[in-house]
Amino acid sequence: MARDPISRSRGGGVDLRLPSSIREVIRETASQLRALYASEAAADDPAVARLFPTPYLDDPLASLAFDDRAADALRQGRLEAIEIVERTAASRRLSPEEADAWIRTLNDARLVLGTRLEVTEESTSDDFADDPVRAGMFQHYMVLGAVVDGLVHALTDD
Amino acid sequence: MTRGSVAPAEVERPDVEDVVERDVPWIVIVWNDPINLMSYVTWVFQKLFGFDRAKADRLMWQVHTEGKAVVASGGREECEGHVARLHGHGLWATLQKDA
Repeated sequence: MARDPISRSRGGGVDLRLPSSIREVIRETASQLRALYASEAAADDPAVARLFPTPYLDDPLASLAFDDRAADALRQGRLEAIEIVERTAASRRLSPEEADAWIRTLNDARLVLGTRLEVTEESTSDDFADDPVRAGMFQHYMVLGAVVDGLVHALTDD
Repeated sequence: MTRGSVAPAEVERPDVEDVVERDVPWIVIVWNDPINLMSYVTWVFQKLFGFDRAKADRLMWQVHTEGKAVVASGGREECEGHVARLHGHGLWATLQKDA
């Protein structure tokens, strides 16, 4: 029986048997996120804003103060995770910490893509079939979802 | 939340989660969104709050079916810390005074 492409390793991390094409997608995804965060357009990008939600629904001043305290650390945490993904994109085995960085980074990319595509819980590839660019983005979104789901199960399933 | 490519683990019916204690002034709420996978949300709850699988699943399911769930309560500073860590994991979290 073929082994799962993503499974728990004996050391508590994750064993990866992913094709190089998927690894390239993962590495590029991390690099694209890094470029997105660094871009001048990021401040006005709703897809980036999705990664930094408003913490107080009814208190804009408290929300701004929260951003002052928290936003830099959140951004730094994301950049550190991106760096780990770029460094380990070709690895056959991830430590728990590396798998954690993969999950967070690839999930962030899903949030960006999903926000751009305005996906719903019912979205399927048929919804984007008439637009090759959006169809490609949705395919990317689904691939990342499968990897995130596989990593989470590898880390948490008994 | 979305199920993703793999069926979620067996989950119980949602219960009202009694995590809010008396006289605790602030609560942390996680809101449903169409992007985060159910398996991912459960993992985040386990990781950040140390919940066992059953409790994390129950809260995830409450977010999914009811649109939101209270996942933590306590002082304002503590709750802001929870919200920041949830945002760092891409969850849509807010805090407010416990009404």
